[in-house]
Amino acid sequence: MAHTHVPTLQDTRTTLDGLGPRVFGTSLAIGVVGMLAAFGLGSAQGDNLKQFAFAYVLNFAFFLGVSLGALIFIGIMYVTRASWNVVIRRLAEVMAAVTPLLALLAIPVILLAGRVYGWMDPAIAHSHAMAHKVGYLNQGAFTLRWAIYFIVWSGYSLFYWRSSVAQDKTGDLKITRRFENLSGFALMATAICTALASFDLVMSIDPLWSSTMFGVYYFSGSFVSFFAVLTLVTMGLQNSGRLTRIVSAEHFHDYGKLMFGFTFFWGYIAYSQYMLYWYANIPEETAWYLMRSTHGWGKVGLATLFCTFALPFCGLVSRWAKRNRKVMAFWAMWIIVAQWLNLYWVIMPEYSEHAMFSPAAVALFLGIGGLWFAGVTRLAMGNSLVPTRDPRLDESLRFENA
Amino acid sequence: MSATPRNGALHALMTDFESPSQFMQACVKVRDAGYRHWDAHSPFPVHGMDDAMGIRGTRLPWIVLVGGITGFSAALLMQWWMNAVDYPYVISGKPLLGLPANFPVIFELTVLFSAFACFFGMWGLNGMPRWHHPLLANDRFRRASQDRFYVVIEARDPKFDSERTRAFLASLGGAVVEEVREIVEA
Amino acid sequence: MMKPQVEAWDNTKDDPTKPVELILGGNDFTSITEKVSDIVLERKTPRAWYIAITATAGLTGIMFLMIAYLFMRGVGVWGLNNPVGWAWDITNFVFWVGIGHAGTLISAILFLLRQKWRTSINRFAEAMTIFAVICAGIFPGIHVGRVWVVYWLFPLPNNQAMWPNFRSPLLWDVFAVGTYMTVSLLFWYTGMIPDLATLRDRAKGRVKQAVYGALALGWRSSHRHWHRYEKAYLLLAGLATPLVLSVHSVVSFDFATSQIPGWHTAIFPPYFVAGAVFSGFAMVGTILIPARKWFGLEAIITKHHLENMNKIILATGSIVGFAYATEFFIAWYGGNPNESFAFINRAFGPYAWAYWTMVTCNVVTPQLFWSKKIRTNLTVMWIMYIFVNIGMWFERFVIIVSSLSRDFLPSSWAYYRPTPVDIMTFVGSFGLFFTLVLLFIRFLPMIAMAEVKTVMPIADAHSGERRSVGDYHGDIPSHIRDGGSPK
Repeated sequence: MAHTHVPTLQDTRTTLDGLGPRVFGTSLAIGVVGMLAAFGLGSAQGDNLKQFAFAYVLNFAFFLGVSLGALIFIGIMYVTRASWNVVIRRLAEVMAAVTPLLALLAIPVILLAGRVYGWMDPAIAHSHAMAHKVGYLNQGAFTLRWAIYFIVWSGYSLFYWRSSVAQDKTGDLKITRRFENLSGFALMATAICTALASFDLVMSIDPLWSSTMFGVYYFSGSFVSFFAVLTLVTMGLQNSGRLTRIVSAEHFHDYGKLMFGFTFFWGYIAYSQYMLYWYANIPEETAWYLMRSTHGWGKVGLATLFCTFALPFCGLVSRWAKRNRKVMAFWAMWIIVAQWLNLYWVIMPEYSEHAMFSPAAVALFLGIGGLWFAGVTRLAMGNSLVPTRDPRLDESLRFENA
Repeated sequence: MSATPRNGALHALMTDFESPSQFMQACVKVRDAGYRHWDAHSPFPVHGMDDAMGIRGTRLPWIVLVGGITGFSAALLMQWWMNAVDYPYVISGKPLLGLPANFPVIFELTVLFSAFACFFGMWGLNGMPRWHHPLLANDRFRRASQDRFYVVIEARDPKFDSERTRAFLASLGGAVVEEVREIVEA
Repeated sequence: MMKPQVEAWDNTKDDPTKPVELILGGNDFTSITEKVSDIVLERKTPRAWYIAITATAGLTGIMFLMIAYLFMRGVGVWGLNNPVGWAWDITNFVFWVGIGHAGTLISAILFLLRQKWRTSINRFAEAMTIFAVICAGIFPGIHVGRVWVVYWLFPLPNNQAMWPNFRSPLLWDVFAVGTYMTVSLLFWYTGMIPDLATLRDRAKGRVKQAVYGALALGWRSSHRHWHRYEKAYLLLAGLATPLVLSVHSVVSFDFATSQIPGWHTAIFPPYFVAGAVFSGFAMVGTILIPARKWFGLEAIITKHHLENMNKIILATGSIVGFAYATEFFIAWYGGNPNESFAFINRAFGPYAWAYWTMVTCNVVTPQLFWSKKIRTNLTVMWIMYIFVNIGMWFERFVIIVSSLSRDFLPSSWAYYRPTPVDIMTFVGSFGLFFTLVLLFIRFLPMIAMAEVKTVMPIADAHSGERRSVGDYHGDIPSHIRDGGSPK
């Protein structure tokens, strides 16, 4: 047996150093170019930026989901006193702490609301079915709610990140205790805001349709995407010679289990919502699914079912797959594309009755994604990539899957 | 102890330890000495013993996979045959084979068959149940399920030599080396 | 029993710098084995046990009498009316199935999540799961009206060439609960094999040796066996995890696939699962607190274990509260007048008393567990468990009865009242449950000895030695793997 020594932070590089500015610059450039390209493509449609607006909401929802996934992940790790994650927790912290940037990126959603949301359409807003909730679904209330969501999310995510960075210098145990005490409340507040935000951001595109499950549906998909992004970011850092040795197969095995588990959970939620509406067959409920299963969208939905659920489920079920770097990298990329495709299937049919490909949506994936990643990189610069003085770091370094 | 049958042929030699770490070090030595028909017994699974004993992975997951596939197909075929072919009737406007409505039973039977495959697969691979075994007739061995750790080398091992193996076992630092005899039917 | 310093044992202090001590009182492998197996093998059965089992068996008898009466007279002996065709029968079914969720959650999900503290309580919780599912299974069986054709629930070939309707959620229930019962039993038994071997090896009487010996299947604690055993346990845990999600989801489908206002809502599956775990933990706690005291197991089932359970109760209780709020919000947001009426009716209609009992017990009082003082106080937590048990029964009652009693057609509304037969059948089911629990603690090891031993620090065979560095990243470019930094 080669069980000889516990890896230490001295075994590897734990700062971005020269890599930081390069990655920051590149992502920023991709982001800006993507945004401009999307704007150009959107304007060329001649539909008064309608497709651009839908594509924007789609990609905003995707990257917001990744950040919220990170925030919820950190909260869960603290309430459960988990230790395995400590060595990679800083990565989740910066992914969550980028929420103020997402608040800026939310401004176009509010400005473009009239092109996306049914409740901005006067014909619908004045209809009988909307009468009781025009006070809730209008641009003023919508903006106000987003302000509240972002205050909550940014408050918690910045608190985690700042205090954790401060602990690098002081090693103060009080910080860990404070996290442990507050994470329960943080999770509750984050969960409530995430559910309501998913209603506002995605569900209310069709203001006449509703599902109590929608918040869970959005969250479960986002959580899978977060783990996929985290996996790729960790691998990228290792390929640049950072975090090698200290992040081991054991940690990747856990990423794999979480991706697998939440892929299954997403499938369970998606199935339950679909089956219950299919079964009861109430017109105002099935209308939403009818729109997404006709005129070519049905094929996209079926592709979603296989790509988002069935294939990654089979691909990640074995222990071997979760501990194999290439297989994990493949499924992480696959899951990002598949979850994005699923959001596409949820959002874009409201734009076009017929299935269509939106180049603007792809450009915006690069645009918003580039800016998001630039923000994450900027936050990661200057500090260690590992919470160096977290009391559970040693346990995390020694961690072994039984 | 008197209850230990002394009259059968030699089944194995065994020695015992008090702590898991001595036990594991002993197992590493037995493994490296090249014995094949030997075993280590402890009241709970000691972490790291698979390496220490050189045990390779089990086929059990494949057995479970076969069970799962059987359950999945059986459930699908059963529902199709019973509701869509042999006794078709339309109820609440649902298609005869409506997958959203057939999925729960498919899922349950997949799990059920997999669980049976897993449970009985483990029995089969472990040769269970086997109520009659020389070790179970040995009084000293009773603490293997309680608080002591045993290394047992069987007489059928090609490298087994009653004198040298006895000396080898004694060198491992266990309490005593004891003979385990085959059970002789009265 | 001598337990001098029990009161001083407190491992609930949070210290992030070192792992929690899960087993207190200076126990080693020998003392754990003795403490647990002596309850079954050595100790004289206390008189209280005989008194208790007489009482619970009496209650069970009452239940069977009530069932016999039901069979003779028909379901009219219950308080059912038109439109309330489901009431206490299905409420009791869902209540008991829900309680049966904690066992598998503890044994499977907490196992996969590497929660070591589960080892002290999993055996107990798994046993309780099985007994609760037995109690649950009775109710749908007897509620069908024509009990003599209850076998129609199963796809058995018959002379009328009929097959059951697989598109009905009621049939999914048969498969879900049946599978759950079977898999829970397999899982429970698998976990118990090493402990049954311990009992076999310690038993003195011939009968006990023979019985425990037969049940232990000739287990020899061999590591070649442990290897496959651990794999089997892991796989069963992996199978039981989605299964436990599916069972209460399928139960929720019984309601949610319909069009009844208050029943047809998409969040039902996860919300039912959370509620089931919530009620199951409360029931485990209800029994665990007295049991650990009576049998002197405070060193094995410590305050830390109970505090963790309380945290899970707080979390699942909050999820349940969140689901209540979401339902209310969407009932308003969705704008369907029947749906919003159903919810206003729940809160302010004739069953408002039941609704507010439910909200108080499930949402309000569990929030007290935010306070560490409360969640580590044995008396207070036991009272809270009782509250949760009550609240979760009322949750199912509110869902089932309030929606049915006032559906779409006001002229057919009716108020449901239980009859004494309803009440005695339900109370009798507690008799059955506790009879089984009493038999279990008398004849089987109520703590998973082998598993507890694995989480004790002395079980670590290579303290000081660790995994090799970078053992996985063989495919990282070698200059990085070996050199540490590029260029």
